[in-house]
Amino acid sequence: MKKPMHKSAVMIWHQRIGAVAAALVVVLALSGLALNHSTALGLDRQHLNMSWLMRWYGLAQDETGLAYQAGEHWVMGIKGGIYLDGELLPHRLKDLAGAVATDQMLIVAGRNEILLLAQDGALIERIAALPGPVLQLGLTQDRRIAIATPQERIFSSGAEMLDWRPDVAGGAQWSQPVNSPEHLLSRASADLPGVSLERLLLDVHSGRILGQYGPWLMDGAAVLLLGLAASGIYGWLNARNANGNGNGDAS
Amino acid sequence: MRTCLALFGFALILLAPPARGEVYLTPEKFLSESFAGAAPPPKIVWLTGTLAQQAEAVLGHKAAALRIRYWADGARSAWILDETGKTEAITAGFVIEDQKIARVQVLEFRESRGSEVRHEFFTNQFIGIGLQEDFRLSEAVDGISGATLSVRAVENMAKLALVLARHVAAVDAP
Repeated sequence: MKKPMHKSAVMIWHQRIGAVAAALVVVLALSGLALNHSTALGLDRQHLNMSWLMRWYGLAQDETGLAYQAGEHWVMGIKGGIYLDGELLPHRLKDLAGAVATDQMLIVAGRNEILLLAQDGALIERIAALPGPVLQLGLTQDRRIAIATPQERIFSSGAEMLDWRPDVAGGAQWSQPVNSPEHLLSRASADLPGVSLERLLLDVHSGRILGQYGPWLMDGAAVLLLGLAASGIYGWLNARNANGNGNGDAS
Repeated sequence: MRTCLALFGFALILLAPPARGEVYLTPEKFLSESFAGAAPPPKIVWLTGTLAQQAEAVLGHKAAALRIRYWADGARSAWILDETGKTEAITAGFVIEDQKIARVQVLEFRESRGSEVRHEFFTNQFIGIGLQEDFRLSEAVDGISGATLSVRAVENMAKLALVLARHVAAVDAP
């Protein structure tokens, strides 16, 4: 007569861990399956621009419709897209900090990059080598390009913008944000960029969608899966031994 | 039990997070290393006329920017270029010396897949390669399975760096 099976502590924990890990494994499995067929499913071509999602991704800047006037042009930054006179440009720039016009080009500053644009919006150059994060963009009295960085430090550069030097004289005229002209804002809002479905799924898969602690949650899921494996193997070996090496033959 | 183990293995595979947005080397460090600790001041080359056509020929599309900055000291020049792999830009640095590639370094990789192009087993293949008259590399470069678009992007940037270096060498020639 066989002894009744009693659950060991290990198997009880096996069930508990399985229940906790189940939700995360489902998320990982479904997002992983979708990402494995990303191209076939067209995930990289589908974009989402719901306002809550854009806010979550930090792309909902300047939703109030602030704009900078650069010469005869208006530059707006909406959800990471740059609009020149209401037309979306193919160049993205985060945290718009100012725009000015020189005789040769338009200069549009984000916090970490500066775009040099032709009058028609064509990209002349994207400059990432800056002396610091850009808080303001302006022109000095002798028409040099000026940027203000944290700690009230000001740097200026010539028209070619090949190097920056501390501008001790100061006196720059800073580009100031103003409310966008209504007709440009309505034209811009019709063509807002969004987050690709592929990017969203990648961030769900890695846990980054939950911010800096998200990957730790997925690490936790991995540890739980390891616990499941160990407790599962332990339980299987126990059951195998209890059944006479697992073949049920008592001879 | 075998089913459980198979499912567990499958879940572990899915757990592996794809790499994205990795900075391997800053442009400043790349330039410093490429010029023995003292990078020369930057210069710019405008992509206009014939040069713009040549750039389009090697990239397979119009260049994203109208001008590109570079650093040159004698016959040695360094170029930091961006090219889209699948959907995101790959930033790579190239050193050209005497119209041959002397160094390739992937500086930043933003794609979700294909980051293997950053490894030396791939980038070292470019060393000593020049550009033929038909804008092909003078030697074949072995690809990487699963990283086709990233490989193509690095190859195209290498060709562009050679085209640009040849142009500025001709312009700067006494």
